[in-house]
Amino acid sequence: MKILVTVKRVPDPDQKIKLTADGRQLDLSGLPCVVNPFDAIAVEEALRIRERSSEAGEIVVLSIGAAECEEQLRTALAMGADRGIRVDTPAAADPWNVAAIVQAVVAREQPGLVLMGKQAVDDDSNQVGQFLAARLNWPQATFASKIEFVDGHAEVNRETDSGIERVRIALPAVITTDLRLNEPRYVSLPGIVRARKKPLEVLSLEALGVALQPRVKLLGVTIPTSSRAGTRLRDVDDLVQRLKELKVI
Amino acid sequence: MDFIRETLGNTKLTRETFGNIPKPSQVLFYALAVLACSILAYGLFCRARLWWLGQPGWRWRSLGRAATGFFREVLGQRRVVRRLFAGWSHFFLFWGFAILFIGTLLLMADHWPAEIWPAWHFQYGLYYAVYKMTLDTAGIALIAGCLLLAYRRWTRPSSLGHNWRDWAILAALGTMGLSGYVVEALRLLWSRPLLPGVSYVGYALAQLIGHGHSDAALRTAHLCVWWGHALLGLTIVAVFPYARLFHAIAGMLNITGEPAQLGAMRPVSLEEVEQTGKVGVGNISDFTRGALLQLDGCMECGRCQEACPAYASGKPLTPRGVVQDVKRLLGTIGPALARQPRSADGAAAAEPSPAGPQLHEDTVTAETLWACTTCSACVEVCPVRIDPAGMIIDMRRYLVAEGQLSGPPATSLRRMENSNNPWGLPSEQRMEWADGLDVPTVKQRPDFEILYWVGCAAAYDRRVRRVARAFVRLMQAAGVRFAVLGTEERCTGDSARRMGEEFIFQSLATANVETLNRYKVRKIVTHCPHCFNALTKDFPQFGGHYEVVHHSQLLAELLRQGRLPLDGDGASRPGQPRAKRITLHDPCYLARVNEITAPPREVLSQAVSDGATLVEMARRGRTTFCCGAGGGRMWFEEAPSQRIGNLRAQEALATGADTVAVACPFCMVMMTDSVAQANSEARVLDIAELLAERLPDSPAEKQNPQT
Repeated sequence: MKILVTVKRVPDPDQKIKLTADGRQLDLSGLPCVVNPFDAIAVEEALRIRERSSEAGEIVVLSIGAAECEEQLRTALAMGADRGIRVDTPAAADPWNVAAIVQAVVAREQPGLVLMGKQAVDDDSNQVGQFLAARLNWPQATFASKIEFVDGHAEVNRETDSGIERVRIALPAVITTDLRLNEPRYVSLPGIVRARKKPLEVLSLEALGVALQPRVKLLGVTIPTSSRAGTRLRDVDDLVQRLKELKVI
Repeated sequence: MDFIRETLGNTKLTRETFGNIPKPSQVLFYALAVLACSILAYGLFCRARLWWLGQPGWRWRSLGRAATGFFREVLGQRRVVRRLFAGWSHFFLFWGFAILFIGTLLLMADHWPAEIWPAWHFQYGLYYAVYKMTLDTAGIALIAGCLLLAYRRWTRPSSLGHNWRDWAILAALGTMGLSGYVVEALRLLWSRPLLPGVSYVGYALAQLIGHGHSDAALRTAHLCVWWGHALLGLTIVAVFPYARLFHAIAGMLNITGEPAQLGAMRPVSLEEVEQTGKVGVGNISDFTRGALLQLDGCMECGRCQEACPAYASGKPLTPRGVVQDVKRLLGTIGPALARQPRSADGAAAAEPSPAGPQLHEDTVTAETLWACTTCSACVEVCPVRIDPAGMIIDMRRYLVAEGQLSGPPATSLRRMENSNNPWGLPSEQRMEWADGLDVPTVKQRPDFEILYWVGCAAAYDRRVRRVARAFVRLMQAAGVRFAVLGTEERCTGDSARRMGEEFIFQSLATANVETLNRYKVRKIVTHCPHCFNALTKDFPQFGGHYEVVHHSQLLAELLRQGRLPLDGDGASRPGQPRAKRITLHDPCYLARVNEITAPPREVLSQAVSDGATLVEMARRGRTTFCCGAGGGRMWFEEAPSQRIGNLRAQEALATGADTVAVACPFCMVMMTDSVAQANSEARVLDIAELLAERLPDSPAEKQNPQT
């Protein structure tokens, strides 16, 4: 089974985010970037699906953005994916348009499964997977913490707020990955060196026949204020007293 | 004196070589000797051919160091005798064997040239008397060694590897000694030489046999036993490379060749990786020739296994197991590999066939490799200086390169790469530990005399921050002109390198060296033994050469100079229990790897107030036992009940100590957790914290919000 996995370039979540001088955008200059951690889980899952399965299947990784996104594609290729596609876009597209681009790539590649992170850790939109399934009219299973294949169907454990939900969906399908699905393998320099030999194709929006129709406009960003300082209390009685003062109990 | 006058130059005091051995027997003996030596040479050739499957680059040490190694550890058996009973038994066996072997060679050296030039003989007179007495004594040593070691095999500790061949070898060597005496006794009886007493054991045996036998009977018996003795001796020569005895040759080569230097690692060249895309040891021929040679030095004595903290805590790792399993793999797939054609540089061209057993998983599992803390106890204890830790790191390099690492340790590596510290916290927070203290950076105090390398643990871990604060207050009290790199400091990459991620280590190392050299740093003090080791053993490979001291060394020096104003006792801190019984947990990378054991004790002896005692654990100094955090294990998740630190904490608490002193941030974290796990009230404190408790202004620090 051919699997298409999306890979988004995001700032390393450990880094401290700054704003540009005008305060309207994130200042990404000099920030180390990584594969969106949920997407890394999706790549890892694709590799494991192939390792578990008896049939050989191609794993294609897709990133949308400017040339620097190829760094993240190379990481995914070093993890073990076979081929990379970058769709060249100058600026970040909103989720609906990202879904449109992925839809065009799906039409071109005809995968049996699209695996993607449930959301990207930079904008936390959590929409592309759902939009894509709707646009393709494919079944979807979001927030996957376990994926199994039974009788040509996918059985997926979904992590919901109220517990684990197990669903069975027909293929082809869109599955978005949650944190507990797996632990992605580490990629070191030798892997990246070897991945340089793997094919990486750059497609323009025109070639895909996609015209962006922006639906969302970014008005501004603010850095959250730092959390309040903690206080050291003497003992449990003190704690109870304070909680009463705060009307928590 | 009379003895010397009587024997010196006395040509009658000798014995005829091959006396009573008819010419045909002599010829047959020499033919068999040639055969035995050929079998020996073929065996040697086969083993050497297997070693040559490895990567070139094995350098011989300088002649002086090779000689030191040879005299101290081969002839002196310095490491062998560390284990008393087995060690001294081996000492006797070794020396008995060695002297008798040399004695036989001398006999040959006397005999062969004399066949052509009869005046050559030197086997007479005083020399002969001393020779005989020495050889008779050596025989006793050999037999005693065999008996003692046989006793040990009989009651053998479980650590000892064992098979039937071991009995055969001991029996053969012992019989060799005994039959030698019988041959000697029979010869004394029929030849009635001058001064038979110089062969004192044979002489005593001759008295037992008695003089009532005919010369002819004695001669026949002599010839028979001589043949037995000769055949057995030639058999031992022939089987040498095929039995455990071979450790004598491989071990000697390893000791005099290039044994491991604790804490030092071979760098990997980035250019090479760019070309090949390969790193580390993925199959048997990726090991160096030196490493493959080491495998043959292993006697399965099991000392490494007994010293291994991973093994003791129930992990699948045993250093002996790794060495023996790899050795077995070399024996299985090596001969076929050795027959394959080779590339120009002499290394094996082809890789092992995919069908045969593989090094990884089939032979050594990833779980085994990740269990190692690189504490180097196995390397330190090995009598022939095998380096299992180095092999393990080389195999880890392969695992990391092949993407066979995930989870928390992988996260720590990504954080070292992107945030320059394994905690993944911003560099801007690197100086938060010093809030409220006057800690100048190298920019603020360019005329500093010593750089304080703070390390990531003290920068980001709330508990370890207190160690840095205590150490700074001590330096300030002593008037040390120190400075720190501040936000420009990065992780040294120690754990990255020992986890097998050479490239993140190298980028951290080169960036750090560049910073240190830019500020013209010459002298460095650090409270972290891992940073210490990286600064002294890793950074010189990347152009960083500094004089580095551990904070225990600096503090001991300041105490000796009387520069620290300590008050009468440490009881001035309100609400803080006073240390009454202190034990010191030596950090592996300080005590064993870098042999710094006295300074922390010097500091402690001054840090404890009147009436407090310093109690030592059995495993201390260079034989200390790991806390479990080395080699990147700090970043692995582990069930609390399986932590190596628990074993060490129990050991420390068994001394009755109320305070466990440490001298390493990793040990601090591990010991604190494990002491808590043991439900003990004992405090875990760095030696600097204990000493700082005696500074006159101690209570002030107590009020600091950092604590």
